[in-house]
Amino acid sequence: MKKVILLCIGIVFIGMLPGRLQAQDFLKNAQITGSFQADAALYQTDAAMGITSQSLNGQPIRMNGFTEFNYEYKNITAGMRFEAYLPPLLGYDPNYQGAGVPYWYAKYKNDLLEVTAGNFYEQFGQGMTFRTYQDWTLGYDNSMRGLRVKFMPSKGITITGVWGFQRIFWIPYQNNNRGIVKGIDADFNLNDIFNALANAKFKITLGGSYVSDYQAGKTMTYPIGDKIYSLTLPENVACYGGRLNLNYAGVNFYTEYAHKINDPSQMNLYIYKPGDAILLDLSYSKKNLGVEIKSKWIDNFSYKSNRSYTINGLDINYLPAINKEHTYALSSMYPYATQTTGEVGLAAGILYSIPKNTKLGGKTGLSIAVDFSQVNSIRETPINDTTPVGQTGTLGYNTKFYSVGNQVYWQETQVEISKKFGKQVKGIFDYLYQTYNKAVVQGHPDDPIIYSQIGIADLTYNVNKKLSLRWEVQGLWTMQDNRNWAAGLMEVTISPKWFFSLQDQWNYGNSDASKQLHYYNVAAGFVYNTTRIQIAYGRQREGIVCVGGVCRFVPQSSGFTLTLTSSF
Amino acid sequence: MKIFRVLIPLILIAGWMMTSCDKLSAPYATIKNEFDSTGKPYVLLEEFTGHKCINCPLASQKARKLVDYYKGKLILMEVHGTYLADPDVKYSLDLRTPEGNQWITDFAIPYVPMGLIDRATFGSAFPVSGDQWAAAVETQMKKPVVAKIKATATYNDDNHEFTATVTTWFKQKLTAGANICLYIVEDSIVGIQANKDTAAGPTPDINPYYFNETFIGSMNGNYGEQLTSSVDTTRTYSFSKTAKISGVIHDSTQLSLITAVLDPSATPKGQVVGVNKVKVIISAKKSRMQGLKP
Repeated sequence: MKKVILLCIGIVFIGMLPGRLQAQDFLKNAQITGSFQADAALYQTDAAMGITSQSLNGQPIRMNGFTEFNYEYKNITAGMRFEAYLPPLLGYDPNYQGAGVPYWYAKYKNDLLEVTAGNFYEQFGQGMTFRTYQDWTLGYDNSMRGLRVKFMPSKGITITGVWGFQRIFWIPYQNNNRGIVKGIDADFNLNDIFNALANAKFKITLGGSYVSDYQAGKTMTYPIGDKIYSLTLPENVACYGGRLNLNYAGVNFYTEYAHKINDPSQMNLYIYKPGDAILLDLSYSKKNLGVEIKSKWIDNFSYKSNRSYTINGLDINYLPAINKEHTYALSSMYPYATQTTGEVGLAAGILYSIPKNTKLGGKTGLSIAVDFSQVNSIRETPINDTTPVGQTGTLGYNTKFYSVGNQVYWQETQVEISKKFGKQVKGIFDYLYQTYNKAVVQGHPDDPIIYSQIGIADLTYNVNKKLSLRWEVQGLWTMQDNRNWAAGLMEVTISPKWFFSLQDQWNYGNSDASKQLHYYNVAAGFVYNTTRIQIAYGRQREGIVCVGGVCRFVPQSSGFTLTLTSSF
Repeated sequence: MKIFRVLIPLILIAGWMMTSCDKLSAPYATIKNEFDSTGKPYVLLEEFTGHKCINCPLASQKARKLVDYYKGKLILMEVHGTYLADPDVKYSLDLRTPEGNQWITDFAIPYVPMGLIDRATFGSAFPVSGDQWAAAVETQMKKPVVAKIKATATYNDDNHEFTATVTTWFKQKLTAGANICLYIVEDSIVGIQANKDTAAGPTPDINPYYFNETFIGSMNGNYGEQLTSSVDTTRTYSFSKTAKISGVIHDSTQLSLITAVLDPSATPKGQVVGVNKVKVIISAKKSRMQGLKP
């Protein structure tokens, strides 16, 4: 907090400098933006769900909230974010408990240079070597605190350097309790650099990055088998990669490759194998048609600035997900989480819009989307005849580039049809078949693979310009896990201010009759300009929520929730 | 000149890249020399665990390997807590204690398995994850001895009272005095333990599972009581206490007393500066009767 106050004083001081900036001008012509969000809950006991006052830990009222301010004046930007978790909502890491200013920065920018001091979020390429970001839904924040310099020596060239340490809850950086991360990235847009390519239809960008994490400690005591060993540790772990993007006449090809040197950690159980990761994405789009094929191969590529962390946090890099993210309740019941220790995936999708006034399209047209994705293990073989795969203190295993293992982690086929029925009615109809390896994805060994079929119908009826009604009917059928589910939703929107919804998820197929519960929820909301307030009452089923392949456990709960968001 | 403008940054970047990349070669792991316990302090490892915690059996196994390696200088106490220790129809044992629940809150134990080593901070946090226990214990073992403890303990099977008699002397001064804690642990409590690691036993459950060094209650509260308000390194401190514990005793022949001396000046509730473990002797009629041959 002291630092933030000093920062603010600094800004004001600069503003008062005679001959350069007039204080009045500094305040009058400045732009201030910000946002606010509070998520509060009043949890209650629920005998049917097994929620007791003890499981609520005596704290039934909880709140997560933040307020962010950004100040901009000419070339200078400064900002801060205040956060409060008093105590954190269920499912968020209890280490968040507390309040304070974990994020503050001051930035100066001109045509040649951009310098940021304080906290910042940054991404090199798709993030396979470096990405810091914040996701409020996940309760995730790995922002860097330090310095960032962006250098733009000429049009089409951006060189970025970062140096700092990452945020983890409220734990201050001290005694080398996490690594110091340094990185450099260069991005080249060849069409901007070379005049001869300026007007070419063929667009090329390429880039490269190099990141290093310093963690103090050259040795570590670790029990292996019946003996106590001393493991040699690399204090500096480097990760580097390159990327290329080609675009021509609706066809786009992107690829990124990254390599990481020996990085023994709790995530890989202290093996010393280097890591590799590659991402390939080919897409084509034109009027009425879009096609995309993506693939990735990841081998031992968890990269954290504290080698003993296995929970979400202190990730230096990000491995993009290639499977679709779903918003409907039942299609998102079994979401896939990226397996950073190793996976190989393929995803393909096609979207075709059948034009209006055709046999299939009818008067209003019709859109059909078909998607498929599958993620498998990679093939791992022993490094020799006497060392088991994954043995701590060794190279761990051998694998070949783009090898595919036998274990299926995830598979999904989805067909989605969107259709307008006249001017007032619109429908979306989905069918999905999912294969979900819960044992691997959620770390529940011995849980069977879940094979599920899901059907969804979503109808919107715009009664008039102000009033619209929406219904969802969903079904999930599986012989595994909690078996069959049904879900329904009715939503009324009275534009521009009011909305109401009533929904229920019913686990009617659970083999334990006492668990055939209804997870009902009633909600009402009010919108005024940029402010939105929503109050809801009901039950939340247990599960996991994922954003971009990064997931958070959501425990079951029951009670009231209040959400207030605003921006200015 | 222009060439220098380009060359100098390039040389600097290349130099940084070369020095920020520690490529290692085998062997990556070497067997540690046998532990020399002479002059080393006793260290307390409080392992937070739960019978529904699938990662806990392996962690517990690692903790025991450390206990063996440190030749009795490392004292282990398993504290059951968090929702993974909640009992239900299958995992019916309830090994949670009010003291354990309070420690989980006070030391911000985020999940299990997790450890406290002498209730000291490592990397600014109290909780130490399983892979760091060995390193944290090693750090504590390198510290000088602060307090030495001798203790005896008896348990009266008739009135369920424990009596502890402790003698303590200090090798170093403590500015805020010293507190003393008397914790009772029990071995061989039989139950079911969830498990995911075949190296630790059968999956998905180890049944029967013997819960050892299980904390079942304190004779004098969460953080004990004052032994002295000022430490004098020239004298010995005697302390005696008779009390019951709140927890359930499953088998009185399997009890031990862990005595911990705390430096109360350390946050949040004092750091362990000396620890001792002794077997509890059964003193009352009932057990003597059980011991008599017909």
